[in-house]
Order: sequence, then C-alpha cells, then structure tokens
Amino acid sequence: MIDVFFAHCRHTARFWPGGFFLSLILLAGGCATPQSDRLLASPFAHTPAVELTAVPFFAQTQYQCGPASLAMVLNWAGVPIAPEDLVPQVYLPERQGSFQVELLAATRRQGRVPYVLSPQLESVVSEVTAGNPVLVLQNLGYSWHTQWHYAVVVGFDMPQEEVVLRSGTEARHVVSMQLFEHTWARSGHWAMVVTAPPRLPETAEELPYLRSVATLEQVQRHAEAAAAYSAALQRWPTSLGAHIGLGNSRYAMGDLAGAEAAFRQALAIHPDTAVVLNNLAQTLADHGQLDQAQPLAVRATQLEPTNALYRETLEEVRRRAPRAAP
Amino acid sequence: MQMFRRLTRPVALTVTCFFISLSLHLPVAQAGLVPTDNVLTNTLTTPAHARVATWLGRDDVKAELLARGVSPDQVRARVDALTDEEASLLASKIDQLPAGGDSILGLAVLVFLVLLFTDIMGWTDIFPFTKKGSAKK
Repeated sequence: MIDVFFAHCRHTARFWPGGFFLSLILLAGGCATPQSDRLLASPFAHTPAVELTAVPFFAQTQYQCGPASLAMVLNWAGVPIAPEDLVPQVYLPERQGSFQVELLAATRRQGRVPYVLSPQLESVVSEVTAGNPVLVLQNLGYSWHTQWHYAVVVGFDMPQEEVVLRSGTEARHVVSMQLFEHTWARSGHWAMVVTAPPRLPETAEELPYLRSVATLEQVQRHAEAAAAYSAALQRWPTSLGAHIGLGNSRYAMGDLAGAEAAFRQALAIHPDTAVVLNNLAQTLADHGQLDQAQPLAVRATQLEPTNALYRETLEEVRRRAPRAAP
Repeated sequence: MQMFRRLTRPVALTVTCFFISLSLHLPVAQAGLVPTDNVLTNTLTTPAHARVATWLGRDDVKAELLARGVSPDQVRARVDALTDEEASLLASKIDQLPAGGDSILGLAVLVFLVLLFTDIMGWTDIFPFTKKGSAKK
C-alpha cells in the first residue's frame, strides 16, 4: 500500500541530461498502454459514454490543483467547501503543491470517507459509471522533469477512446485514453474517491474500506463513521471489523444502548471472539449492568489469558461490583 | 562539597520528574474497548516501542511542515488527521513524495505540448506514443 505512495517518485531531479536520453531509450521500448488495451478489449468497451456533468468545477489558481480538485469531489459528496478553505489544510507553500496523504487527511476532517482505488483503469471506469467522480494524480511531464498534477475524472467515452477531466482551468478537458494512461501511470496509478456515508465506493473492498472508515474515528467524526459501518454491514453482513467499528463509534458518541446492540449482533455471528466479549463487557459495565458484564469479561480473559487489556477490563468490572467478586 | 550536597536534592527531583514525564507517554494497560483499528490489522496490541516511535514521528512531521511554510495554527490539526502510517511516511520521505500542484500552464508543460505538437505534425520523433495513440483506430 505504502509502496504506491512513493514508488513513482524516486527521480526528483529537475533536469539531468543523462536521464533525458535514458528516458528516451526507455520510452522507445515502453510506450505501450496495457490498461487501455485491456479495457478496450473487455466488455467495458461496449458501455455507452458516461459523463457526470453535474460535478462542480473550480478553476485552479497557480499551483493549487490539489485544493481545487479536492473541493470538486467534496462538494459532490455534499460538503459545501471552497478551494480557498482547503488551502490551509492541504497546501504546502514551499513545495508549491499538496501531498496525497494530506488530501486523504483533509477528506476525513470533513467527515467523508476517502478511498484509494486499486490501480486499474477498470476501477476508475466503474466508479465514474456508478456516479463517483475520481480524483487522480498525474505526472504530466516525465520522471526527469516532473509535473505533478491533480485532476478529477468525470467521464469516459469508450467508442471514442476518450477520458473527460476537470483539470486546471478547464472544466472539460478531453484527452485520449492512451494519453491519460501515460500521465496517470507515471503517478503510480494513484486515484481516490470521496463518498458520503452511507454511500459506498462501487469498487470498495472490505478491509481497505473499513480501515479508511476507522480513520474517521481518529478525527472524532463518529456519527459519519457509524453511518459508514452500517452501510458496510449491508454489503458485508458478517464483517467483524464493521460490527466492532459500529459499536465503538456509537460508544464514543455516548450511545451505550446502540453500542450494546451492535456488539450483541457481532457476538451472535462471532461467538467466542475475545474482542467482541471485551467490548460488550465494557459497554455493559458502563451501563451499570455489571452482572451481565462479568461472565463476558471472564470469557475474554479465558480465551486470551495474556491480553493485558482484557485482564484490566475484568478487574475493573470486579472492582465496581465487589459483591459479585468470587 | 557543601555545594554538591545542596544540589543533590533538586537534581534528584529534576531527574525523577523527567523519568515520570517519560513514563506518562508510555502506554499503560487500561480497561476499555479494543479500538476498531486493532481488529482490522489483526494486532491486538501495538508494541510500546512502536507507539513511542509514532509519537516522536508526529513531532517530526510537525516540524517538517512548519519548515515548509504551513502556519503554526494549522499544523496541529493537519498532523492529527494523519494515520500513523501516513505520518511516518511524511516524516521519512517528505522531500521525495510528489506534491501535486504544478500549474498546468507551466513552462515544462508548454515545452511538453510544443514537442507533442511537433511530434503529431511529424517534425520530430520524441514521443513514440503519439503515433501509437493516433494510429490506434
């Protein structure tokens, strides 16, 4: 995962003549567009053209394609925010640009789920077709003269082999699929979608999606996290992570009854799972139901005797209910 | 010698306070919920040394962002919104990561477009994919 973030950026020199000629040699042999070729040979090729014309456009000011692109996808996901308001959150003055990880961080600060797509053109097409514009990082130049740029993919026209982007100062920037693939491949095929819970990305996979939702808990956006976990349970009904996340975020909001319900549902599907037993015990204890909490806490420590957290939970339950202690 | 004895108490006190303050940052087992993260990474407890490293890493990122022009009143919220993984990535690779933001009207792109144009017109042969792309259909 982390490799995706920097695998493509080893060459940061602005200009190196040796690199220039080396690049030419490499390019001469490496001009293929495997993803476009594969896509155009697949059933995707027969899908009609799609364009999300209602995605808002913010023209970038100098160097600020990051805030502009992020504002477009955030507005689409229901956050009315202007690029200027995102500048202090993502822009790095000395580098005259924005980092990918800071776009992810700013998204969660707005209570939206940032989801990094798997690095395939098919993923981008699937998301756009499902109504999710895709924020992409491109290198418009070469490795020897990098030109990092963020843009938003809003449309595909398979018969014409074209991609439609909101890019820079152009509300509708149309490029050939092959040119898009070249510029996108040079960023390591980095792409993200922003969704408002309970909406899920079309191509979401269980663990990566839940990890992204868990980061909303880190920035105290518990209501949105709970909505996202609930939605995840619609798609993956037996997911342990989604059940725990739902319970934890309800607990963090002070909704102990809701948390208890989530953990009990988890226990029904995952009996004898120490995490569930511990979290349910703690929730019940905080709710004053110490008699019910104690056997659950005991069971958690029996399953994992070396876990310090479970032992501590059990001790706390016993401390609070001295009469029930053995 | 008298002076040395007089200093013993304050020095001992300072050293003790220092170690106590260090221990405050070390994770202590507490009752509570297992965080969602832990379930998703299959590690029920993060080793203490890893957490201390993360805590130091975040201070590093803060300093790096400040040094690159982020305003002091924004830097804390920005770093707090990063995951541990992202923070350590920024701390270790801040100058190698791509910072998307070059103006698309920049000189380099202009050169790129000019060369692309000359390629398409058949005057130069720099970008092999122009021919491949246009000959696609």
